[in-house]
Amino acid sequence: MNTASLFDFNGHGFFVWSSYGMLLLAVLAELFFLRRQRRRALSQARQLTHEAPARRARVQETSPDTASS
Amino acid sequence: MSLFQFASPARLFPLAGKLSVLFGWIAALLCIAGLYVGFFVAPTDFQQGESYRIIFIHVPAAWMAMVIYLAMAGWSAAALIWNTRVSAQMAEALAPTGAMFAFVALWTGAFWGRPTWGTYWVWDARLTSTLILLFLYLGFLALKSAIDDPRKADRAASLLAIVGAINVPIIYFSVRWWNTLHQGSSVTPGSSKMATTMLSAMLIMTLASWAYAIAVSLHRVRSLMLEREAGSDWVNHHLRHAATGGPSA
Repeated sequence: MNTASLFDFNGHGFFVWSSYGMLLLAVLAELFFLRRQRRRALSQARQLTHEAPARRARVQETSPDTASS
Repeated sequence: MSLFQFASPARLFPLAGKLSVLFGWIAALLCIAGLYVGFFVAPTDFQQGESYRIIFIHVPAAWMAMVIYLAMAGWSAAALIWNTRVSAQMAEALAPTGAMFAFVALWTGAFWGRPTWGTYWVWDARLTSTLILLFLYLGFLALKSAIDDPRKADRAASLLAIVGAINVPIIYFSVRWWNTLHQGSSVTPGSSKMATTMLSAMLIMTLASWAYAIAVSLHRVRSLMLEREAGSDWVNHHLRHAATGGPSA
């Protein structure tokens, strides 16, 4: 198959390339959302990790056991 | 070593990371090989001409949409029976990829149908049941995000996934049970009506789709684990090691 017939596909190029093009778009969109979800999950987890020691300290300060001791 | 140890997110997380990369590379290599055989080695079909080359993505996408739904229903059943967190997260991780394959199967089917049947769409049993499959995937995802309590959302979505699994055999056998415009199965276990090179390209693309689905789902389940388990000791441990460049938990 030469380059010209690869694009034309005997007059069926529109149908073939629309199919392969949509598959490419769908995969790229999925990978984009996957990456975005990963970034969001990581930043959320980091935020909670940084806040955890401060929150534990606040809980200790305000708990009756700690306050009375 | 027991497989049940991977029911713990802390154990599955690092393994999923390694497998995701491995399957991603396998998918890319198989995809290149499949497209090469499909475009440059496989001959032109004597009846359909060049438009048949859509088969190399249409059939794998349709198969994957059904297989992923069954896997999702299986994980959902496991989540309901054993109440394991990982099972529900695996079901959730599979759904977007399954929906993507169902959409691609419908789209490529429409663009293959136009030159061969003369129409993009008919309300035929095979096409309609595949459209219902796409709606089931979207319904599963919508239900998950509509309920605030994650445990309740898992249970409701799991039920939907299990009930919806009845649609998969309907899709598969629709071309036998009803008179449909859609052609019957070209490949059945043990026999094929296709030329060897055409069949090879289709099977290589199917393997590529399997590898892609595994890679993407494992990658997504890691994000879901981070979202759900944020603040837990193992996530903190992982983040500390990731920041220092050491091995993750």
